Amino acid sequence: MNRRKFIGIGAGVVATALVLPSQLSAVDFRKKDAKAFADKDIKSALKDLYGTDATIKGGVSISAPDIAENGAVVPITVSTDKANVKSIAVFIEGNPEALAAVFNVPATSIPKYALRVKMRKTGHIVVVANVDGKLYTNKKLVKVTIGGCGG
Amino acid sequence: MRAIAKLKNGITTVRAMAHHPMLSYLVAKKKHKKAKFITHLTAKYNGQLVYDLYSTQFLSKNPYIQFAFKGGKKGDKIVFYWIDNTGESKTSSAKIR
Amino acid sequence: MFSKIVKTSIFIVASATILVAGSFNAQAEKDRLALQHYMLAKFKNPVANRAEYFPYMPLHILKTQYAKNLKLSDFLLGSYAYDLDARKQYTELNEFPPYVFNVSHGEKLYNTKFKNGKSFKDCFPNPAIKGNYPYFDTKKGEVITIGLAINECRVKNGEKPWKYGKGKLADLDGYFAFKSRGQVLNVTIPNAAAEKAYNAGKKYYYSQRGSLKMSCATCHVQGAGNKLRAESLSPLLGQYNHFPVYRLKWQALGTMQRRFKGCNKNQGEQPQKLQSKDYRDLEYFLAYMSNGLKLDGPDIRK
Repeated sequence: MNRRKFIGIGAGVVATALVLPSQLSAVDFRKKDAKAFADKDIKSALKDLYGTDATIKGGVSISAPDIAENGAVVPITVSTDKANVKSIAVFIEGNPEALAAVFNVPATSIPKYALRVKMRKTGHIVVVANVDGKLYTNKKLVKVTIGGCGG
Repeated sequence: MRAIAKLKNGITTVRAMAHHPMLSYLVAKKKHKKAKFITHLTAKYNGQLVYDLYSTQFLSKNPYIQFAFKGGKKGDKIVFYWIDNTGESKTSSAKIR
Repeated sequence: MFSKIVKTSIFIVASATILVAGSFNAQAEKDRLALQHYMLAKFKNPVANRAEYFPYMPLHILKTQYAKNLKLSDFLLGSYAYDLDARKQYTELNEFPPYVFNVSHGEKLYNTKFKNGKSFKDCFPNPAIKGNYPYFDTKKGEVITIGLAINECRVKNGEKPWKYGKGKLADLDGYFAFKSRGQVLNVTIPNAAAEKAYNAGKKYYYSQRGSLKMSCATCHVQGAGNKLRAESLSPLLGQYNHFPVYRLKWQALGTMQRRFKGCNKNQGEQPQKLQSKDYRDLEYFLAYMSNGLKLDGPDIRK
């Protein structure tokens, strides 16, 4: 088990409450597609985010557990092998709103991201990659249980 | 932001964790608090964006992120920035090792 | 001839004394080794030993999702030692453990001065002290746990005691545990009173309790490796070593005493106040059972 010592890692320079104007993204999804973040089902969120829900199966990989240890911290990794990826969106079936995260993919960025998400119940994690307007997709079923001792 | 940035074979891999409660609407209501979660999280290298995430209440508490980008030099800085739905924001940095 | 008899007598008396001095932990040693023997045999080959140890586990799960040939040190991972899908998630979360902020906070608390100018450093000059707990205080005649020692330090210096289950005390416990990683657990039983405390803890562990009439052993000895609803039950062996624990369910760091409370509730019994005599004797017994294994707290668990 490779466990690292984290105490020595400095938090670096911290400046609070300073909103830097230069945080310009390729697309500000929260401004442009605010409605997508409010949609309850994946189809509507997809339509509001990318203008269509027509997707091509494949080209996207999802690594996620079969049975989540705890629905509050589900570690997943999403990636695509396609070139010219503009953005990657992560949807979670069964959550109050379907859209969980959207990545803009900058030029030098390798389109592979790991994160930890909340899942309210058993359902699919659906990942969509926007490759020059074409939407590639894949999904993975994750079981979320209420544990016997966890209660 | 706790971060480790490593350079290997021309690619810099970053693993980081933000210190943030990521309180969802459901849990906030139960605790009689306001929902509070990061909505935008970025990382920049040499002024260029290398990570650009629009997040929601559905990221876990103390959100963990991992990403990689082509380039980077040992000793250079990666600058992180996040802002949440209440308007609070934080900037921090980490050196590439 | 006479000198030879004297020498032999002295030798017999000397060895008898050593035997008597060491005998307070004689039964405990038997218990500890019996537990190791049982666990190693149980998890050597779950598929082959299904009838004896895992009669209710589906064969295909034992074949595809269980590890085998577990070594002693593997037991430090709890149920992640044998449950392979859960272990993958544990490994991923461990890439950047959620308790990093707790340990940093603990370090800050360690260095923060009390109102009287002193700090925890005066009670614990070296933070790598987790390996010294719990111990039986022969003067006071009771088990001293790390939680008790932390609050004793606070009260001695005019500060209010902290809550025993979570928050600041857990964070400081976490810092001590982090600094003590790698130490080999070596709890001792120095006298008859300590042996009594060990036996009290052992009795508690094996007694049925609560509305569900389950003992600790029901889940963590007989049940280890089996499932309780959706939970993969963790073995007693190696369990003490990873505390305090960042439980995903708590989304927070909590102490061993906090877990006792939760377990009692799950058994359908009213929990005791943390650091009660029963809970401290229990912690003493639990720690002794994992003697010989390394400390590796804090850690992540479900």
